[in-house]
This record gives sequence, C-alpha cells and structure tokens, in this order.
Amino acid sequence: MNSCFRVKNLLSAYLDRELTGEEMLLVRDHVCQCAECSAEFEELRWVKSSLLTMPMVEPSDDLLDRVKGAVFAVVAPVPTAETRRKSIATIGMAAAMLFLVFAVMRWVEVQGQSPIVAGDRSDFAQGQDTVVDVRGSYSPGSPVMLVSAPE
Amino acid sequence: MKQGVVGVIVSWVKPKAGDAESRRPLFEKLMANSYQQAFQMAYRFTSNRAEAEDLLQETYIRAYRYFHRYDEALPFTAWLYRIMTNLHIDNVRRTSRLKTVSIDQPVGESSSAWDLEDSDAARGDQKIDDTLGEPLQRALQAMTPDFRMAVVLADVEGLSYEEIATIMDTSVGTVRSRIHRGRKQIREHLEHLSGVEHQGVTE
Repeated sequence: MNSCFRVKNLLSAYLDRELTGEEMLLVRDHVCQCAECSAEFEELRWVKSSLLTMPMVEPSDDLLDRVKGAVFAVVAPVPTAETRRKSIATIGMAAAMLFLVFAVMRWVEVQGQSPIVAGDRSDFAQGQDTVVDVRGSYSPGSPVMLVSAPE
Repeated sequence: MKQGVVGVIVSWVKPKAGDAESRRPLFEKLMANSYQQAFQMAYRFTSNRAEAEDLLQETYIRAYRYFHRYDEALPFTAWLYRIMTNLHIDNVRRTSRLKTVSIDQPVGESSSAWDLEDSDAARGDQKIDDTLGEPLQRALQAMTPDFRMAVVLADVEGLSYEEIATIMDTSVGTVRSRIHRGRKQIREHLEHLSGVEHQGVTE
C-alpha cells in the first residue's frame, strides 16, 4: 500500500524518464506487479500522447506582420550598458557645466560689489553714494562720509 | 569651441538609437523563426485565438524591450516562454481579481471545483473557437494555470523538467509535482466531461 502511494507519485516522472536509475527500477518492477498502478500509468501515458498529438493551430497569415508592427512601433530603443553609461556621463557633464556657469555668475556679482575707496569718484558722478568708515566696512546707499584721521 | 562641445554631446547621446537599430535585425530573425511555435504555446495557455495573439504580441514587445538582457548562448524560445508564462500568470490573476469584484455573477452560481481553479473555465464554451482537440483544450483551460503551463511545456513543447524549472523560475521537484497533478486534473476533467455527456444521453 505504501509502495503504491509512493509509486503513484512517481508515475509521471517515470513516463518522462526524469527519475534516477534506482527509482526507475522501483517503479518499473512495481507497475509490472500492480494492476492499479499499471492502469494509472496507462492513463497518464494516454494523456501525454494525446497532448503531444494535438493538432497544430495555424496562426493568421498576417500575424507576424501585425506583431512586428506593434513591437517596433511601441517599444523604445533598447538601453544597453554602454548607452546607460553614456547617459549618466552626459547628465554629469551637463551638471558640471551648469555649476561652472553659476560659479562664474557669482564671481562677477562679487566683483561688482567691491568696496570703493576714497579717491574713486565714479559713483559720485552717478549720484550713488558709498560710505567707507574708518574700520573699512561699507554700506551702499548711505550718505558719504570721508575718511579722516581723529584730531 | 561651441561646435566642439555640442558635437561631443550629440555623439554621446546619439548612439542610443543606433544600438537599438543594430539589434533589430537579430530580433526580427529570432521572431520570424519562433512565432509559430510561440503561438501554439500561447493558444494552449489561453484556449482562444484572439487572446493567444494578444499574449504573443505582449510577449514580443516585452522581449524586445529587454532584449539587452538576453543571453545568446541560451535558446531564444526558452527565454521567450519565460516571459510568456509570467505574462500569462499576470493576466490570469488580473482576470481573477476582476471576477472577484464582479457584481454580474449571482452568489453561489459557480459551484464547480474547476471554476475555482481558473476563471477562464467560467467564461463559457464559446471561448474555444477551434474545434480541433476540443475536449483536451477544454481540460487545459479548466486547469490551475501553474499546472497547465508545466504540462504544456512538457507535453506539447517536449521540454525537460530542468528547462521547465528555469522557465517557471521554480525547482525541479515543484515541476515534477505540477506535471503529475496537472495530468491527473486533465484525466479527471475528461472523466467529468464524459460523465456529463453520458448523463445527458440517459436523461
């Protein structure tokens, strides 16, 4: 009985020759002696051979063309390791250029805001006053106070 | 200088399309060689010509999208069937979820054990539009999808358990079990059908 239970679970694999040599011998010997397992084996063999001989279903004549049309119309370019690497490098390069542009703009801005020392009258001519105190700090837009040594 | 920088950027970006184009002839060739066989597989999975064509198309679209992952040392059909089995499982699950929330079906109508295994079985006989091998195809349609795919790959395609395990991303032991239980389901279903037909004759 135990032998039947074990063998029945191996019948399909036996049919497909997917058992080890030892298991094959076990099943073969048992099937030869056991009418019930032999009948089950024949039924499984019938199912397998019926599936194998099922008639082919013919695809439509234009199936390949239709599928090709869909595949190459819908699908984006295939990314490969090489293109991915290049994409990352391109993004990196663009980011670096952007950083450079911002850095230059900032530098120009800082240069444009340099303190005006006494003697430089160009801002006065334009009506823009800059004050420079004795400690060297300045504040744009305040009234002019000339630097002089304490008496 | 400007042209130089632009030229470099264009040359780095442009090969994306070129790579895809260079692989297209190979994919087209593999497709032409495999589509008939793949269609048989799709039909055995779905039991319906229109759904088989949809599954086939979806499979090739996904295959082309991930073609860079395909290892040319392995059979193309094995890789293709792996995609197809995953898509089929997804489709069955989606349909099952739709069926679960459907308000069209009266409660308790679906009492057959076959209906519980695969929603395809509940969709009616009109789904099988080819009469060839109809009882067997109907039995396949009624099976648990995992069992159906394992049986089809073994008995229709003639693949080894190891190949099927790779395609279905599972162990050889699981494949062995699915094939055995799947064949038993087919046999029981055919017995069930013949019993119903026999009842119909005697009534």
